[in-house]
Amino acid sequence: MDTELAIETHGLTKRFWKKTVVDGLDLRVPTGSIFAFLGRNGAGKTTTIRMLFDLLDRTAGTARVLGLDCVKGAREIRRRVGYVAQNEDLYDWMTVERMIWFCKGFYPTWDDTLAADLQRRLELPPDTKIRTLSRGKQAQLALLLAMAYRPELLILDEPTAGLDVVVRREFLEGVIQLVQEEGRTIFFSTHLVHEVERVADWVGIMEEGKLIYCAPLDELKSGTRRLVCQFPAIPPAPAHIPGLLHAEAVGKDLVLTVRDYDEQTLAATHALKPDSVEVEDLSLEDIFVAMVGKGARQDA
Amino acid sequence: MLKPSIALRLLWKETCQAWPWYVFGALLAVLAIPLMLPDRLIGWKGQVRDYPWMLVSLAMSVRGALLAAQRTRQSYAAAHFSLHPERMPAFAFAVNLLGVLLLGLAAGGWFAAHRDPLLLAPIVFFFTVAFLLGYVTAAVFGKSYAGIVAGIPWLLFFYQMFSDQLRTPKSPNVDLFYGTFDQVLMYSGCLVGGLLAVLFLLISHRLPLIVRCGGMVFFMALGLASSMLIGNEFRGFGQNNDYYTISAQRLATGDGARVVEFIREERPQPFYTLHFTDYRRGREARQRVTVPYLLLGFDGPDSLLLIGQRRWEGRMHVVRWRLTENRVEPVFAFRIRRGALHAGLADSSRHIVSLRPDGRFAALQLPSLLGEYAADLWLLDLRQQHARLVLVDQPGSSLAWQDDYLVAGTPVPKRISLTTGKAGPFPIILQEVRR
Repeated sequence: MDTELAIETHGLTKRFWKKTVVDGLDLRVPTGSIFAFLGRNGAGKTTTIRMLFDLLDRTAGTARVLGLDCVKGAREIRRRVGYVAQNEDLYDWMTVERMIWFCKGFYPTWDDTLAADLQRRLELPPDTKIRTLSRGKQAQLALLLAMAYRPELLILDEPTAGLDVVVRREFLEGVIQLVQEEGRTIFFSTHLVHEVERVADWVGIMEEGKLIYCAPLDELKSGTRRLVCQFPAIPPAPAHIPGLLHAEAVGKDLVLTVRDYDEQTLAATHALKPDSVEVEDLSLEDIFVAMVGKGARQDA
Repeated sequence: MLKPSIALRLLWKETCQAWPWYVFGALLAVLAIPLMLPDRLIGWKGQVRDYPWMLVSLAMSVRGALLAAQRTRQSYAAAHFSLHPERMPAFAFAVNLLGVLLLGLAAGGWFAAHRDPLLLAPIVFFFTVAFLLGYVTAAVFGKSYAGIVAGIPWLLFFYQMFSDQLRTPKSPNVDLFYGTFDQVLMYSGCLVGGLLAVLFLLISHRLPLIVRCGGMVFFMALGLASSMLIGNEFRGFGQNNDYYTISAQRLATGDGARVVEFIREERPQPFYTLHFTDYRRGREARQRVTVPYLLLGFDGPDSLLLIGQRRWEGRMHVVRWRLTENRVEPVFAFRIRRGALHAGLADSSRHIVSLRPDGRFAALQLPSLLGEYAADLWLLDLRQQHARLVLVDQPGSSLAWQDDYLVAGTPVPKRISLTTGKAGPFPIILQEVRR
């Protein structure tokens, strides 16, 4: 196992009865990276994270977090890894201050100064009951609790789900700012792709339980292009285009999304004899849709 | 083991979450104290007194169900804290179970101090079973099923109440209700044991097979043992006549001049009044007692002998009521099985007491454990202050005193020596009657 990897899985599989939710996942998250774990709802992201935390039994495969086996080292992992779950179920009858006091006792490395600093920066009112906090504030409190003991790895499972745009942006910016100061690893799952573009440096994309892409974000963005081919009549089927991710006919236009774009790709496109070809850059969201949306070609 | 600082935090959390339930339960239990019932409810008292207990049990069931439902909400601890995932729910369960036990002990303790110590264990058990039933059912099947299970005794209770309103108090439905209620309680032990076994099976998937099998067997055996315990000890709980096993009595001298009445009273708390009236001398005396007594007889112009036993006690007490001083003083006590005086008092034909006119001996026939119509006869030597069992399983209908023996009116009359206590056939002299 590679010690430079914060998370490493081999053939990680989870089946519920006959349904395979995670299918032979080989995931490698480099230490120090901000890894965005993308996928549609139901792609298997949360199941994967729950297996990493030993909250779910795996059906097959291995998983290591910070070099520790996720079953045998589960308690150590919980001590060294911060985790913010989707719709975190905090003890909502406690006040913010009490919740912080309660959690503090479980972590020997708890940093009171950091907790107080986070509380101030996130503007969390100490005497307010958690149930009366907005969802955004609750998510921020969960983040505080996950960070105040200075974890080596922070795992966020859809931390911004259900939050409005402003709060989502504030939350993510807060996370990034805080973690960049610490230089730690962040692994966060989301289906809100556009939000991670400014944040992540690595991307893993899951679809139907399988990891279909895992690489640095820059590599993904720089090599992926959209080719808009205009034809005089109905466009032909796009055959033999290397790295084709997605193809869609829109009237007389054929819109192709390709990865690892180069001269060969362009030449193959011209072989279809279009009137013109326009090459466009893509946002991460466009790439994501091309990879997992309707018409996506996962064999690419 | 948990570190003390962590255990204290968990305890604080559980206490904060659980205390309203137990305060609520305690308040309901306080409502059960008959002292607080207004007089006009006297006719309803039996039922009214049951309300709070039923509510407490319902509250405990709901508490159990909610706690079980919170098992998933404990996931914050399971996912974040460096604890075994089952540690927190187990701790919460233990703390709440302790709370239920304490509530049961407090309520049962009150009853033990003021009414009947025999009710202590059933009340503790009643609350605990209700809690376990709610918890385990919700953990295995979900909250809605827990509601159904917890609601059954409650529905039966209302069924009984309304049927009681519509019909006579002695309606067969009353027996049906209590019979069903007892059955539910009895089988709940098995049910809880079985559900605990299933729960254990579900959460122990990482343990070795032999441990899982052992655990299942243990919980099922626990359930079976609980059912047996309830069956033996708990059946009859909730019946209004359960405590008041001694009925009113009246004893008069042959000339009717002196009369003693033993009156059962229920307010402000269960007790009995001995009421003596001497019509010839125009004298009266009253004495309140809490021990249920049978009136043995006058052993002098100003004294009366009584015999009594608290239900849980393994001794029978002979006491003398000195009428002039209006004071009850002990004479002696002898060992006898628990509840001997109270068994089968609904069938009072098996209770016969008799005092020899000179006050030297007394005889006491009590229902036996040996059969539905069986009875044992005790001979009490009041001067020597000892008692002996002289007839076993031989019910009689009368007792007659002779100089040195006692004649028991069994189907075949027996003569019992007052000195040795030995029983033999009564010699019947047949005389030929000539027409």
